[in-house]
Amino acid sequence: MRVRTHDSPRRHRLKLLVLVGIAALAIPAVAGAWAQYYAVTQWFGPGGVETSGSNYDINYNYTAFTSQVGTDFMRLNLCPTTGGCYPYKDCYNDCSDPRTISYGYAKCTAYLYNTYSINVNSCYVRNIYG
Amino acid sequence: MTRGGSTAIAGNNMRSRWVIVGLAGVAASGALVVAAGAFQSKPTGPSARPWAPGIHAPVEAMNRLAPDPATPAEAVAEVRDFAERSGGSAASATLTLRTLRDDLGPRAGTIHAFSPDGLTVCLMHWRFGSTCPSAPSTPTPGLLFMVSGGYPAWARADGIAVPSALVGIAADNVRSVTFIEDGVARPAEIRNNAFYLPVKEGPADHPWDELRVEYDTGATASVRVPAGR
Repeated sequence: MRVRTHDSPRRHRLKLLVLVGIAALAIPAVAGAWAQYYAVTQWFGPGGVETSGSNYDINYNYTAFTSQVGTDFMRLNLCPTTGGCYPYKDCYNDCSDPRTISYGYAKCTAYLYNTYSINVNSCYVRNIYG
Repeated sequence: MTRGGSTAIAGNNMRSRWVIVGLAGVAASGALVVAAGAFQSKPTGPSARPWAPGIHAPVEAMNRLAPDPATPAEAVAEVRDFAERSGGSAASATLTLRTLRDDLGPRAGTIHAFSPDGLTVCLMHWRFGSTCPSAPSTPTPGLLFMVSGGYPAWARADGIAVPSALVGIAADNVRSVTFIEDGVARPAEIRNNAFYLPVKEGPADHPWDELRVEYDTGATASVRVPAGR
């Protein structure tokens, strides 16, 4: 026969300890330092896109590239995984985007109406712990 | 079985259950640590490429203005990081950092100039990004600019959107900068060689707007700017 009992203060403390232990281990693990080169030395044709992995507290997106003509450019932005993105940041030269997002991914895009492909040196992202 | 015996057995069951829950929790946390460790591994790729300044021109405000003691430490860190990432000198960027505009509204940041090589002038729109002239060619020499993407209202804790803006530095030989948006000419106010113009957001029914530059010589040049945000 199973009898449900009320927690004794000792058992309650034990439960709390277990829960605090789990939280202490889990939270820093999820919100850890993170950085990623999500494009390295590749050509982006007009409309070409690369996206980073998703993570917490992203606060830096960067691209370095060489365009064949000064009128072509790259776009950076951040997107939550739930859909939608921030407005684009348009870069005619190497540039950084330190906007922040609590959880999402970074994006590096060659504008759809560019004339030529762009030689992208890197697209790089990191979070505030990285 | 006595009532006391039942309680003791139930207590042992509960304790066992919590030990199992605890062990499972620790195991799950360990898995997360391992998973996060994979993300934390050093990214592969170039940390910097050789410094390769593109087209640039003198900016008088860089020499006239003194360093700004109110520049936030994070802004200095951003400039140092950007200079190094672009293959320039962080020390030079720090030494030459100047505040060109600080009158851009409560959320629109400030505009700064810095030089990673003591000659080339780069731009930082604080909290919205930096850029250095790296393009080997430009239709508008003497003009360094970017479109700083803002924040939509849904991304802000205060629910107030921050507008995207055309932000730039005009060299000394630039007389005026005009943004032609949806066919309407909007002159930019240039102060301390810097300008800031909020731009329309959302999709557009045409691919390009235009940024027009007039030089001291009377010559003009223009560059296409995307219309859709």
